[in-house]
Amino acid sequence: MKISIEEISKELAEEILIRCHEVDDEINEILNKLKTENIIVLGYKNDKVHRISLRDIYYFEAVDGKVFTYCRDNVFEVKQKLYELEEICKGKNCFRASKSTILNLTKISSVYPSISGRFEAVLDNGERAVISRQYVPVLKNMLGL
Amino acid sequence: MPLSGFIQKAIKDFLIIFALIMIVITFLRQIYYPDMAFDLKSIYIIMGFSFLSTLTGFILYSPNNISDKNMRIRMVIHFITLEFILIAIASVFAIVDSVFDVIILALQIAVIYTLVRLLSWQIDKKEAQKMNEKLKAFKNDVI
Repeated sequence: MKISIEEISKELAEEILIRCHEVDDEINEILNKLKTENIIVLGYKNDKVHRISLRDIYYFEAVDGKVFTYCRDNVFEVKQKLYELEEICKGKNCFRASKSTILNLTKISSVYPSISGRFEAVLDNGERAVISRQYVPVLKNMLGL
Repeated sequence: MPLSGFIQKAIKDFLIIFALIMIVITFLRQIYYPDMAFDLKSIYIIMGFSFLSTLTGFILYSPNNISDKNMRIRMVIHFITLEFILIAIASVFAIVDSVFDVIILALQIAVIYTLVRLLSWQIDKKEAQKMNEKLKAFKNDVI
């Protein structure tokens, strides 16, 4: 597929236009990727509000009734509940990995089994997150297994 | 994991334990007592042992997330409970009547326990390998 980029003046609004013969799986995949880029979550840290793109988020975790989002080096509190985030992130390469975590699939470096019978995901920043056995089929499904 | 899922897993574990004991005993009898027949009572006892050992699996069950360390502690408790129950029942049925017999039975339980854990881990390792291959392809595609 030919890719064209046109630089426009600051007065004009930026847009992405896809010219295709039909909206097939490939186009939908591109759309999903573009939409993923656009999801912004508000993170709170030290009385400051940060706009965090989903592509920078490694995982969400619920701890003692609060929900936190973990980026490469930073942790922010988010005001949404985990189930709300699960809904927001649906179809955006994120999945529920345990009762208390949602993982960003694009940030998983590898998966390995633990001798205690569970799976662990090693993230790109070296952090490890548990994947409960009951959610392993969800991950496998997302990976097309 | 919901309770229903755990019960399904327990049934699977029961069948694996039962099958492994039967396989091991079949081979051992073939080697040491080739002319001895398997009677129904023996099979029921093995089935009972497998069932009780599966029941102890509830020690490992928790509806909430637990840490890896907690899980390992539970595994140790599970193993000790298993040894205790099986040796106690074996004593009741007079299957073991000396310290030597108790040690042999304890070792057998330990070997089977380790085998089941290792088999399960091997299966998980294969599954993880498949996932990692797909993950690599997925990341190449996305990034």
